[in-house]
Amino acid sequence: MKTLKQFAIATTLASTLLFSGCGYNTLQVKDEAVTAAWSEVQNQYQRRSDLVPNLVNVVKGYAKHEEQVLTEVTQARSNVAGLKVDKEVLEDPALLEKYQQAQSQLTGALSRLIAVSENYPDLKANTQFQELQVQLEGTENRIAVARNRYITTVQDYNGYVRQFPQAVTAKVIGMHPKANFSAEASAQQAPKVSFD
Amino acid sequence: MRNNILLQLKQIKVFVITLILLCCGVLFQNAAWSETNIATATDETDTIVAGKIIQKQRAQASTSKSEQSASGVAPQVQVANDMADGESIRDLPTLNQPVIDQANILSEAEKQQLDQKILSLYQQGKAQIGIVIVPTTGQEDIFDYALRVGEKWQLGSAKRDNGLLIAVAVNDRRIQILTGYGLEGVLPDIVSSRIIRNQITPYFKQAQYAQGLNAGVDEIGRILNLDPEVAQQAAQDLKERQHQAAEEQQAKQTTLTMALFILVAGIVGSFIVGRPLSASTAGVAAAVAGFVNGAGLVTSLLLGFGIFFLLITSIAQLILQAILSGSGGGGRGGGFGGGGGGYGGGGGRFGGGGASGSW
Repeated sequence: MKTLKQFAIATTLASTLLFSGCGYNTLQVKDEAVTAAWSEVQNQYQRRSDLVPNLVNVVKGYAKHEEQVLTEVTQARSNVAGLKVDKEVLEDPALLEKYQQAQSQLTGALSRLIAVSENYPDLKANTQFQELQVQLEGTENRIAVARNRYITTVQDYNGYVRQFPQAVTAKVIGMHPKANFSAEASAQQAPKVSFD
Repeated sequence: MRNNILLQLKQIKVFVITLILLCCGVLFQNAAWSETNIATATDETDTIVAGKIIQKQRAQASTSKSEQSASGVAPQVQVANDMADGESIRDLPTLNQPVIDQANILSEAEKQQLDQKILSLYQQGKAQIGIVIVPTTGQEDIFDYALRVGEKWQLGSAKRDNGLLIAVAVNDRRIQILTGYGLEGVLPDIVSSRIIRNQITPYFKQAQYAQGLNAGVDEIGRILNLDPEVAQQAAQDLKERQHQAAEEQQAKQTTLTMALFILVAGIVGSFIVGRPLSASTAGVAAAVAGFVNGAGLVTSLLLGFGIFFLLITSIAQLILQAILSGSGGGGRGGGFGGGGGGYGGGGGRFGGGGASGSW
């Protein structure tokens, strides 16, 4: 009985030391941080998607002829809505790439919508439209912040996961480096100058 | 032999008198403490009242001024650019007061008025506002700059994230209000945008930056005052703060009282066990007493060292004797250096909420 107890204590102690020594605990903490950062990104993208129907409705009231842009936005939004957003996306760079592409398609469509709306003074003067524009701007800002934080969190996690000895632990328990965002395709284009 | 006994008797007499006097001193001191407390409290209300009067006068003065300038041509100020060539990103200023004006567009009085408004909101526990004014943000968008400043300053408390940053780039004609996570509910982007459009930029268009910022901060204060949730949280904050202050006060008082007793005991002890031993024991005791009462590490160590010094150099005895001989004097040493009230962030976080505008 006594030896059993001793054995139990020794095992607990040894495993505690082993787990913290091989980075198991830190891996878990960093993994959780990545998940949290990803939730925030998703959250903000979702917020943007929720804005789109209202925006489209308001613009439709004033600019019926801009059907092309309006369909584009609606199409992009439904693409985004159909995306898979759970944790699997983090493990698969191809899936994340697809996610990012769909979102940046919506970004492009929305900015075209805003650009087109410049041609309609009545629309620009509409309070609801102005407020939606403000909300959209705030949401885009929040997306940028959330993405930045996700990028740094993943950097931190990936850097840790690839180092020895955590690399061994990660392999044993099946944790891989996470997929990260790359710069948006539109970010590589030179900005347009406008005088308004 | 007889002389000796007489001397000892005299010494004992001296000690009894000293003890009584010191006890009186402690009592008196406590009374003095509370008296000073009352005095500062009334002073504060006085200054607040005075501040309000001054603000009113200023407001009147500014309205007459704005009428004047409105009738004339609206002046457009261009501030000298302080960024070096090829420098695309600004260095971040450090936060030591609510309004950091790197473009020098506010006068000292205007700045103080704004400071006062912001500080009163802060002291009420509503929000911690910071204003940064720069000539230009260079290549960077004002939002990115404001966010960097916000992340560095960490305005607002870590618990409530109730920070708010107003960034103004004068030459770029851009303004950004950045709300902390905790204020996104009370001040949604639309409201921030409305404040910029309705309160701030009308003044900015006429280069009346101080008036614009004042109107903006007033409006923010008004909205924060309307929200019951903010009021509740602010009340709670205030209660915690008061509780803390009361505790500190208590700690100071008990520490001081204990220090005085330890000093007396040290003097008595120095006649019995010798000066060095008594002085070091009293010093350690005072330090421990200070620490236990929560006077802070540095303060307690200073206290302990001070008592040790007083006893080892027999200054304490000299002071006592001076008091006893009736020649008066004997200043009250020390005091607890109150930290200067700096304005620093409390760990609040920003998530990109807020709105921007231009004029």
